[in-house]
Amino acid sequence: MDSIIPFLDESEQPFSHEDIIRARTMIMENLNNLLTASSAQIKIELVTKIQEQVLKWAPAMRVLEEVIDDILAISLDQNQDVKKSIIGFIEEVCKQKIRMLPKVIKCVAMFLRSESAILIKRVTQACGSIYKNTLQWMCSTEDVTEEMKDCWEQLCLIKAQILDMIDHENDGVRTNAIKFLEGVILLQTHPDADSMKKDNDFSLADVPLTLTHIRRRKLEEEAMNIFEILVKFHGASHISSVNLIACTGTLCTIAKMRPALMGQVVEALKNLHSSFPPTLTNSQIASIRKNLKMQFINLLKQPASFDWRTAIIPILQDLGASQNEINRSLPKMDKKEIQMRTKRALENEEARNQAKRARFEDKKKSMLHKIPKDDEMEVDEDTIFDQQRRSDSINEKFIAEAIQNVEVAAQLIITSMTKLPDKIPDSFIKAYQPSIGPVTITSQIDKISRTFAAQLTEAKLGPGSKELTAEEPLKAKMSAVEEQSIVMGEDYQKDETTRKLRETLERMKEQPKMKQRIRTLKLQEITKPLHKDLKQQFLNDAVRRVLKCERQAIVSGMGFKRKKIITVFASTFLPSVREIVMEYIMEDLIKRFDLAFMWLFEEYSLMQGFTRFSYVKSEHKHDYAYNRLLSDLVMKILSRGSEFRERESLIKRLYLEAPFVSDESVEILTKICENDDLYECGLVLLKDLLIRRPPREEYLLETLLKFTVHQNTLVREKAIENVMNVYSMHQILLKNIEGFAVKSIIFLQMPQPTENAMKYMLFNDLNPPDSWTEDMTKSMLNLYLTLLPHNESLIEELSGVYVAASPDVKRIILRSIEVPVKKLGIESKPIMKLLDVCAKGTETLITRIIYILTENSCPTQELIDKVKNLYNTKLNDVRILIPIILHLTKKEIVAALPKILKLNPQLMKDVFMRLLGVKTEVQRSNLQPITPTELLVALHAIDTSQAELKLIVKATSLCIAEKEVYTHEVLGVVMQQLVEMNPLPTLLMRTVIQSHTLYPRLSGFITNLLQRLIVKQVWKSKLIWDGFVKCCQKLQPQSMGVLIQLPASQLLDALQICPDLKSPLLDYAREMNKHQISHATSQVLEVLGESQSESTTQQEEPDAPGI
Amino acid sequence: MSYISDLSIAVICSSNMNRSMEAHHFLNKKKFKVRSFGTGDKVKLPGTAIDKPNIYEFGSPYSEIYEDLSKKDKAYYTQNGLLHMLDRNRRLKLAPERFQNCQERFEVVITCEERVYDQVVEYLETKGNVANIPVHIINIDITDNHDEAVKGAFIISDLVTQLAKSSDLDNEIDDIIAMVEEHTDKNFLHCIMFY
Repeated sequence: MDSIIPFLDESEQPFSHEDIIRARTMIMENLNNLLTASSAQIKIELVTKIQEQVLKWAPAMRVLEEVIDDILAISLDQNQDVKKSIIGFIEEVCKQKIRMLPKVIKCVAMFLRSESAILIKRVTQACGSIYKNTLQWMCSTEDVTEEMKDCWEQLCLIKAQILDMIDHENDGVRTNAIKFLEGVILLQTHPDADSMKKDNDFSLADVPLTLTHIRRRKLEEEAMNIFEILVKFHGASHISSVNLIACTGTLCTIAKMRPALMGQVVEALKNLHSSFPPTLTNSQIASIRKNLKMQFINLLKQPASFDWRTAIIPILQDLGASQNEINRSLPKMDKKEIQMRTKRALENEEARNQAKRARFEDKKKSMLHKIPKDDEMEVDEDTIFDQQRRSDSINEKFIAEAIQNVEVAAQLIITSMTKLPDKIPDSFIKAYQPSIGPVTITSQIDKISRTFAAQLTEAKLGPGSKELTAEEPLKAKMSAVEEQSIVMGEDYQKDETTRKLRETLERMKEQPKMKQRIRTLKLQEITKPLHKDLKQQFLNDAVRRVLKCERQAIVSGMGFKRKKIITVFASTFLPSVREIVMEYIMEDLIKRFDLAFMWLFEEYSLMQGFTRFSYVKSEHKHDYAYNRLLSDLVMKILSRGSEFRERESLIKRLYLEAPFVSDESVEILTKICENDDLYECGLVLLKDLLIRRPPREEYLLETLLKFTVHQNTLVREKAIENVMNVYSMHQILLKNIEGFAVKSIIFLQMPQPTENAMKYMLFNDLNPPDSWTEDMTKSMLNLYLTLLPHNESLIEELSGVYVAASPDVKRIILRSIEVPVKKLGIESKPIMKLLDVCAKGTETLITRIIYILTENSCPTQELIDKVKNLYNTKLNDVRILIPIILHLTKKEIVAALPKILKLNPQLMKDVFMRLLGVKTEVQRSNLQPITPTELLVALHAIDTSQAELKLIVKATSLCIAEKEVYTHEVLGVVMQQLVEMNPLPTLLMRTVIQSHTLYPRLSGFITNLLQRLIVKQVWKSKLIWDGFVKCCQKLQPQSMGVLIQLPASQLLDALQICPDLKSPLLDYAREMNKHQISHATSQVLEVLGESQSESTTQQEEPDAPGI
Repeated sequence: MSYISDLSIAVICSSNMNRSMEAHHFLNKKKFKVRSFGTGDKVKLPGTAIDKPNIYEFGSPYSEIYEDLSKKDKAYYTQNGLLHMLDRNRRLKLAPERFQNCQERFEVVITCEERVYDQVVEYLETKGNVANIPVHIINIDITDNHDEAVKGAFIISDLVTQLAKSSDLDNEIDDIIAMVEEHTDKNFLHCIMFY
């Protein structure tokens, strides 16, 4: 035991802290690789690597304690080879350091339950050494902790499972189970002097008597049971050749190591030799015979087989072993030893017979009459010995007296002579010891009478037999012949042979019945397993009956317990039972919903390991059953349809109260959210779940967020509502939500929706359209825009997206930001910042924002300053001024006017309306940076190089059309001012004419103006001059007085432009001449006279008075 | 080198010269994971006369034996094929190996002679088992000459191919052996031992 130290003693191998750190780094590195490795091959290599490190280096082993759980986690790997490598790992670790067992035992048990025969075999092999090491560990440790005890119990369970595997359907599994059991038997029995020795042996003798949880007697009893099972297995007729050979080997090993069992082994092998299983082929039988021969020879080599040589040698001869071979394998013994062994063999024989008889007596009293006469009833050994002794002495006395009579003696010899066999039997030679030295007659008589007395006693005859009270009833049953032959002193040998023959016959007869000879009733041995289907049928029916008796259970107050039982059924039994319980619940879902919940919790405790693992689960992942149940329940409720009123409430309850919401069930919930009837409930549920289950919140939020870009508007809105609830009410996961919103709008940067975006929006059809549709754009924007008022800083992201977006998208963005921007209000810092930055491409966006901001409220000074600044620096677009136009100075407005004119007509009109305070909702109050007069004048003052005349015309018309503002007084003032301007504004006359059209009563005023214009030599500008003439034409007859004042050449010109004027003017001149001739110059009259000879006087107007 | 099957095989004859090497060669070519061994005390090769065999230790390289024999009587050993055989062997591995000295564990051990089978079983039996890992021992009788060795290699290859196909060897080996027996009209010995 000293040669191999099964567990490292750390105290003897001190290692430094650095070592541990180094080891940890090494192992962690490998472990990390292991957990992320993708291929099975790599995983196996890494496991082997860790294994080597751990086994070769003590610090690594120390570190292993920390990480072993993680390593064992990969035992859930799908790949069989990976699993095998983990088993190997466990085995080696346990060899080195059995103290790790409590950590790995669960894993071992799990593997043993696996479906794969290969894994079961591998783990069975590993269990061999694990079991041995554990037993040693338990026995060598003084203070046994609870953990160790638990471990031991689990290991015993494993042992029981492997024992069951002897009936496994797979040949290889059986083989390995046999081998494991061999180890168990060797560990749990006592060796003796003849035992073959091995290194690092451990046996029952090494188990201390003081242990409370491991009892020698119990272990031995168990070992003997297992041994009997093995022997029985060995004798089974259906055994396969491989198993048979393995089992024979196992039995022989046991026989060699535990000679006490050799008798039974030889017996079993003998039986095998006499009748091979009928299922084997000839070549298999040849192999088995060969194997048997080898095993027998090996047995023969054991000194302990001395007792059975007589049985073994003939069989060996039959198996084809030569005498030479046999002799060679007999161990060398000196005479003394042979004698000793012979004696012991006899004793043993006797003891065995007795024991055997005793066993028969015990179990088969009814067979008593068949038992040969020399069998004894089970009596106390001492009593029997005592009786025999007494019987012997009485018989001896009787014979000694009788034999004195020569006649009787002679008669005796003569009668028995005829019955002597032809040859001297071996047994006689063996037993017969010729007298040595001189023999007296008395001593001879003594000897003979002693021998006969013993025989008589054995035969229960003679006077001494009365002493053998215990055998009384047997006597009567002896046949007369037998009695006769014994009385006649029939030979010992004959008796022996008949006895043996009878025994053999007996055994042959008993053979079939032997199987029933059981110490404890083992159902599986005497019953045939039911057909699988039938079994299942029974099981199902039983469960159904339990389910049916709901009322009775409630009446008797066992309702709860019944439910508990049902849940255990449902969670641990076959799938069919599960179905039945599920159906039962679904029959009356509302009433039985609590049962469903109990079941769910039961599955949960199974999954979490609160409840002991059951066999049924092993085929799937540990959370399979729970997930499946939860999903089934949800799906079944869903399938009820909308007419099922409680549908929503039940689904809600299920999700909110379930102990664990699996990914699978979240997926179902996702489907619910897409359902037209249930989306509302689904989304609320998602939100509730994410609030109430913080560990899963991120995942759930992600799911919920997906719906905020859903193509269905209703779903989308509801989802956003819920997200906003989380965002603003609960204020959790803010970053995630914002991140998602930003991520969504970033998609809009693409010129058209990408496939990713389609996926993102949960479109079924992944073929993206050519461009963003309005609906899609909105769906992407919605969440973001909703968030915007809550987190102003998000606006930065938008500007970035806006720059890159396509025109369509831009348009939609501009339209949709109204509400959020309004909510942000005019004082929002981030917006101000945005204005400061004003990246390239965001101009329209900024303009829009400014518009929105100022639409209903008065812009702050800050905003005004910023906008002005912007206008003057980066963004030279007059449009941004519009919203704050009322807050500009007159000068600024005038400066901007040409640009304003260039805007589209509608916008321009809007601006003017604002300026004039017409039709705007803004409370103008006292804000009027420019009066209507000033405006109109300014318009006229615009240089035509800056703005097209047409536009100015339009603007002026627009102004003048506002009659409420431009009353005749105002116009009058305007005209007055216009006339004062130098040079005269181009549009002067147009405005004048328009004013006149609007307000005819201004004609007098206008006439005055015209006169002043003459003073200003109006004819110098062709356009104005034309207007002037036109105006005069319109203003007839008042204008005549003006016209007449024109210098002659101009008048001529005017008349050429407008010949209609000529005759009225002539009339006027004549008229004038009649009354106030001095008014018209002669030149004028001349002009008039040129066409009209009647004109008499003309007075030329003096030259312009030097203006 | 990648094998076509994970099955680890040992082919064993008496001297690890002819029969086991022929099979080794053949299986190697088919990319099986195979090793070959002898079980005798010494490596024995026929000499010029029946009472003058050439005897070598296990572990003496094939090339040395080759050199030795060609020195002794090149024409004779060329004519009886020994040199050719040695030439093949030295291309496969360095030297004859003795099974009893090998620590590696195999899943299937194939012997070419009943005596060799006995020795293998005897060796494994006396060595005792520690790990409880099963190993199948199969004997196919092959006469020790070149032609039979080639035929034997074919049978071994047939058998190994079938064994390698099996997903659960322990469970199916009985059937496979019976099938190959029927197929080849030979009787195999088979037993299971443990490491």
